[in-house]
Amino acid sequence: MAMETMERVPDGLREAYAADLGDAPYTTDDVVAGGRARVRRRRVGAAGVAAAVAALAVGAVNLAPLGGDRADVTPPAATSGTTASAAAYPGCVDRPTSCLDVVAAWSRAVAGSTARVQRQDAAGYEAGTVVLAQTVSSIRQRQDVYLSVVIAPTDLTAEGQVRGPEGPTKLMIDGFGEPVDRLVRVGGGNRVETWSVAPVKGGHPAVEVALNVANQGPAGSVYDEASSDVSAPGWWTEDAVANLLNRLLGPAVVHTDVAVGTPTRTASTTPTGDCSRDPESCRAAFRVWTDTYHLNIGNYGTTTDASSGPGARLFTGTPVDNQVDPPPGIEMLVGGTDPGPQPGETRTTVAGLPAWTSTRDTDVGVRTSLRFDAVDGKRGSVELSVLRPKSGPTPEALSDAAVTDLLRLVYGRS
Amino acid sequence: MRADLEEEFRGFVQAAIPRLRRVALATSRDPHRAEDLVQTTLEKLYAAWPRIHGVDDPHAYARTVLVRSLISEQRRHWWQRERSAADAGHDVVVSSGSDGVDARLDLRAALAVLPTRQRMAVVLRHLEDLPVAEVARLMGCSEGTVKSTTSDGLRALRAALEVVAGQGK
Repeated sequence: MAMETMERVPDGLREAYAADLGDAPYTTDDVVAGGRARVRRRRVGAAGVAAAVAALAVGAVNLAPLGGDRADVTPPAATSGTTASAAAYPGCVDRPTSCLDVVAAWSRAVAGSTARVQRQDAAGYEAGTVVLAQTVSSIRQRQDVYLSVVIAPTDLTAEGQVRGPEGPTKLMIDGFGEPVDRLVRVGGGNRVETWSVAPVKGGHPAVEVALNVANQGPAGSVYDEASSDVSAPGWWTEDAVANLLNRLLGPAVVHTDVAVGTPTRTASTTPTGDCSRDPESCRAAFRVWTDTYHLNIGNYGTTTDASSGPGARLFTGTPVDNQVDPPPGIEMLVGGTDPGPQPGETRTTVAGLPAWTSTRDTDVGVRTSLRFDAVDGKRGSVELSVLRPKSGPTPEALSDAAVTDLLRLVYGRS
Repeated sequence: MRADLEEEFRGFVQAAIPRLRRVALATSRDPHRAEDLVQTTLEKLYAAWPRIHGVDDPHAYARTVLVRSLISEQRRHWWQRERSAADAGHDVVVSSGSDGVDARLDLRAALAVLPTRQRMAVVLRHLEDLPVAEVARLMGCSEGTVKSTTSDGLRALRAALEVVAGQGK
């Protein structure tokens, strides 16, 4: 690297990325086809999901959530600003939009804020992610305070974009029954205080609550970089955090006596239809399955996988009963076009069905995949994969019964 | 979508792909993920096109979607972002020499080792030439954070380039 380039990094960057990138691996037609599929899924939308879930429920599948009835999400009373009893708040993460009410009520009670809570532009977020943001207090010319709440998925990884990290510190706070990670970062006129809760066995998805205090300086003045002047507002206390977490999450449900692949509930996985033509209803099927087999569905996501054709959906879950670090992962790919035999795959039979299996090394462990071909030439293929981390306990494989039940849910009665 | 809007969208896509690919490749270490990111961004834009086709700068809208998609992806659990061992070498490009190709490889290797937000700030400021306020809006942070993050990123980039250059000797 020439010294002059090192000294002129910005110019060097422009030069480097002006190089020819070659042809894109997709065409305008591919983009338009993917966009059309996205529009179709959106039209199916909430009504389609609700209908699918209802259909599954009618089909004798018990959809009662773990930890009791969470349908009754009650925002905290306006006068309550102290530590809450976990049992008093059922949590809102099962109905994420109701979290808006919870955060609004909490900020009214604790911070005295009347600012409107609103969901951020979700264009860049996959389904399953809820980001709430609110200006809980704004004192002109002195300090702006922002509260953001992220409800699954979040990697809980703070990056070092702000100088002077204090933490992270794992601690127990009164009124909240789980360890919480606290991280304080100060720099550039900001103080960012983040409280994170990792997914709990069978309980709830990850939640991250962040408070950003920005010292903006007098209006029209030069930006104040003196971060030492920035401090959290007085109402941001451990009690307040515990109060908010309790109201967002509700009581955690911890299971310790269940193995992966063992049904833990009396729910029937009676098949109700072929979901492989309707990815949104496949999501509901996958959720029922992961509930039944006690897999944490909190961090599932969806994506379009180019290698499996337009419309393919990928669902993921973390088996919670072998919670290790790093955790194993389970993925289900459904609804895509049948890719046929892939390099490295070998033929096998699982749950009475012919399948392809393969193993590949990744940077974090070994992923074993099980792929079932499209059935009758008209249904999408299904792929399950389990990640075995390079360190930590080896997770149990999914049982044949678990695989069979999932296939029934996905393909319906044969 | 109406036929005329779709035709307009196709024209936009053809023009936007090269620029979006450059941003995606610069901000995402994994070239395969970068391509997925661009495709996902454009698919989302298709769905929104009837609403946004008349805006002054649809590319700015596309860039916002792309950056937020990347941030969203970064929020995912690490095992959802795992990379095949066979692909692991893609972002560890080390070379030496003084010609243009080697210089580009050095820069990409150095950029790849930056934390995501630093890389994003540097790329948006110096590759996309965006003002601080716009980068702050895109990244969802204050202007002060953008300034400090960009400064830290450039400093780390220079340090990384020295290491890369040293390895090549």
